[in-house]
Amino acid sequence: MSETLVFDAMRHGVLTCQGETSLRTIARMMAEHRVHAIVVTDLDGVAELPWGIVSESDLLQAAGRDPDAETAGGLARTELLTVTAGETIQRAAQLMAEHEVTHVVVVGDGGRPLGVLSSLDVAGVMAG
Amino acid sequence: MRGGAQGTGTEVGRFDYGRVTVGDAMRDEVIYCAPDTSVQGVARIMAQDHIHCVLIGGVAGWSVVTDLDLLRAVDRDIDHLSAGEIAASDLPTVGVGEPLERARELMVEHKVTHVLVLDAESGRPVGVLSGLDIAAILA
Repeated sequence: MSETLVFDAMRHGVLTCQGETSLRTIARMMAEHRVHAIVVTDLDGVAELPWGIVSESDLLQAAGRDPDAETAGGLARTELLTVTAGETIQRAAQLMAEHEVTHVVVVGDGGRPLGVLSSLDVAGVMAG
Repeated sequence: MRGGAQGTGTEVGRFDYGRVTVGDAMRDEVIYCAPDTSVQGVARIMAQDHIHCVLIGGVAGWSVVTDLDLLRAVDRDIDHLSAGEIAASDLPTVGVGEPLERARELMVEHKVTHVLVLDAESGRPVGVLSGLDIAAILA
């Protein structure tokens, strides 16, 4: 397991939405595709990074409010825990455990999101 | 929850979610393993069945091993550890007949995306509810 790279275990590609996408649409995307994070792509000038993430936890927090009024741009977090595709699974798993999260965004050289690594991807590697 | 129960009830009523119970939304299946199941064995169950928690059945009752427990075990000698030895998560529980909103509050409060669903009478686990199950209802 120590030599396996994030690239080999991650889910390649991310689902994206716009800043104006409603919480209800995000909920639909997560439920239909069984994904735990959606990348919000058009945060240029709004936030430090040009993109952000709405996670399952963000959705749960906001779900007590109006799902048609809440938008991805309002919910997106741009301070993110990320790993690079060339990192080892061991290191990524350590980071996830440290931060008590079960999903991290995998970024490429330019810092753009390439995919997501989940705890179940790590489990797949541990299973051998 | 901020705003108190009454405020939350009014708000959720607006999107017709207030009447949904945990039982309506949950995955009514629990996967068990024996306490001495290897860490690799638990990892295989989670990866293959796409589940984030596995119940550990024992004579004295049950406990739960989660994906986070697996992640915490990566630096340990996983070849010589069992499911029972790495299980450290205290997953919140909710009754099958309770409102879905109660489960959502628990998830937010405990910063988790899964809760274990118990039968009200027997106290036995009857299912697991995830954040994605709540997303499906919201959608």
